Amino acid sequence: MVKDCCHINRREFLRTVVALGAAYGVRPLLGVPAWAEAASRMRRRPDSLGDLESVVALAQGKGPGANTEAVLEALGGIGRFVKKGSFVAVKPNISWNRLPEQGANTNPEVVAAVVKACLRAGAGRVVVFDCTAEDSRRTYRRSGIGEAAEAAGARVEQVTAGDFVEVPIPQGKSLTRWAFHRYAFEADVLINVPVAKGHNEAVLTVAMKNLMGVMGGERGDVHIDIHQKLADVSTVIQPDLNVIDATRIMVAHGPQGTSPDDLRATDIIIAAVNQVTADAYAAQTLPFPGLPEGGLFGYIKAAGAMGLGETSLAKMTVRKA
Amino acid sequence: MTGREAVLAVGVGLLLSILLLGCTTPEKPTVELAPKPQPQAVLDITSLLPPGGAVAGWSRDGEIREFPGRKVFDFIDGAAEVHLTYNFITVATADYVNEKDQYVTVSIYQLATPADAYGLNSYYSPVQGHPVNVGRDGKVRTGTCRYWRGPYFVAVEGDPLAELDAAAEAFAQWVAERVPDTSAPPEMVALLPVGGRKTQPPIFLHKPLILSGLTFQAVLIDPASLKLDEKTDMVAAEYEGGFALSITRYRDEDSARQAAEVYSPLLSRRALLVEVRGRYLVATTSACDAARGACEEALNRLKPYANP
Repeated sequence: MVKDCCHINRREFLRTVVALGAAYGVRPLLGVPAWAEAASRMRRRPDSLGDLESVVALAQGKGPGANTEAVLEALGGIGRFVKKGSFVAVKPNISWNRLPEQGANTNPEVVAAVVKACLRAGAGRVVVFDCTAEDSRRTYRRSGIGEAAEAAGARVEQVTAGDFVEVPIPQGKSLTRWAFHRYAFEADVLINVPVAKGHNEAVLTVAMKNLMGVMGGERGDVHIDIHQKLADVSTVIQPDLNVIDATRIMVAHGPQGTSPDDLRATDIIIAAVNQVTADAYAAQTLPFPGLPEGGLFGYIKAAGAMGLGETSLAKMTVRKA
Repeated sequence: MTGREAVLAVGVGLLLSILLLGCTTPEKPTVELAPKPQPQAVLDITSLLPPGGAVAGWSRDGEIREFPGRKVFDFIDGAAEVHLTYNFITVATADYVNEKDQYVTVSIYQLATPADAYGLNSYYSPVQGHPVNVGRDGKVRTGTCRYWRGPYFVAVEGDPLAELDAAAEAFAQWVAERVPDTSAPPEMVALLPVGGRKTQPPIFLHKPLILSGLTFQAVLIDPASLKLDEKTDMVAAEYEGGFALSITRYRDEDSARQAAEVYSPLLSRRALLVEVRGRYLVATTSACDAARGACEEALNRLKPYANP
């Protein structure tokens, strides 16, 4: 039975409180208890999106911008996610010092379409950011995302060391605490916009892997037991929406790529509120050759086993835009 | 003692002395010792990076950076996992820019052995690149040039523009002229049949590289089941006729036989060929005549190495 991520049962609540209390010690009764403050550092999807937990929207063939608009409509429109005055954090993949046609970063047209939709819905502030692998001053520019996002009306922000808060991960099996970007918790709406690529140890980098871009700390450490760690992250960071850019997918030599030979033009956008479901759908339907276990590998399987999202295609509702 | 007796006594004494000396100092067999290895100067890898202006029209942008050990994840994130399977030591990298705001990044990776450098280059070598006479197995493809030399893998990666091919090759050549050439490709590469071979250079790896562009892995089996690890070596190539052939050397015969058993359920379904000779396993992705011929040739080449 898939656990509803928007509700936690009594036993889980108590376990979480005990773990947080132990982690932070006893605080004075005056003021906000530490465990309550820490509890606020979990990002859970709002109950209002519960009906979309196992829904996947798919658009193909219209180009990146139009496909993005189409999947948002298929999920009920951006208004389901963004309210007037909302602070929206948009997290694309801007990790690599690569040009857009090299497929290593999210397509800037997809990012721009998401930003524009949020502002049309009345968002008060839309910020685009990423904790990048390479020098962000270059990656933001050469990826085309910096310029496209600003032109669309977003504020494009560089990440600094002071932007991270360390939080416990009570349900984590491999990762029990880590530093995350504060926007992951502070934003009213978190929209995760990954690009679909092959990856060696992680096999694929899509929605769950893209959340490494809100993580601080040592990247090398995260790559040890990476599959369980990615599942663990999804217990504390649950974006409101995941928009997967599969306009051009990198089917070999990911995540950087070596040449145009590594790319396949598919002209697809996939969207889902649940990042586990989004990844399970992407892994089982996108033309990546030779994925282990039919696409239900590693972190996708681990997250499914933890009840974090539907992974069976047969149990998903697919809305084709 | 008469004089004659004295001479006799001295002679006997001398003889006895010689004999005694022979007994007490047995002759040691002479051993030709290998010359002591000369201590090699530690090469500062950052010194191998071109200064600004080394290639006309290109200036260095920013500082030289070095990422040793697991710090390489800070440089290339998840791509680092591939490098670690080839016994990665460190990488030095620098960016270069021209007046058109086009970029070239030169990265020099130091691996433990020339075989590892060969292997990393074989992983990254573009299928459709054209060979160039730079380093070993140098290839150029839309603004990039990669090769190996000694224990170093050199990647010159520019914007994906054919107009940058010449610059990429120039940067690559500059570095190649300064990297000591202690190159020795993995000996297993010589076991692969040459006729009809499409993959150049053949792939050499220790651990499975998922989604590496190695289509034979997708066809054969889940690579994790093949029990490849840091102690195994695999060479592989694709051939005319639409099949791939791989030769894997395991740590011992038992491991090779266990890996062969993993293929068993697939043998009837997918028309594979699997042969074990000692600790070597030869596999093809087809049972067509060309694959059979290639398999037989590989087994012949294996004879001096594998214990029947």
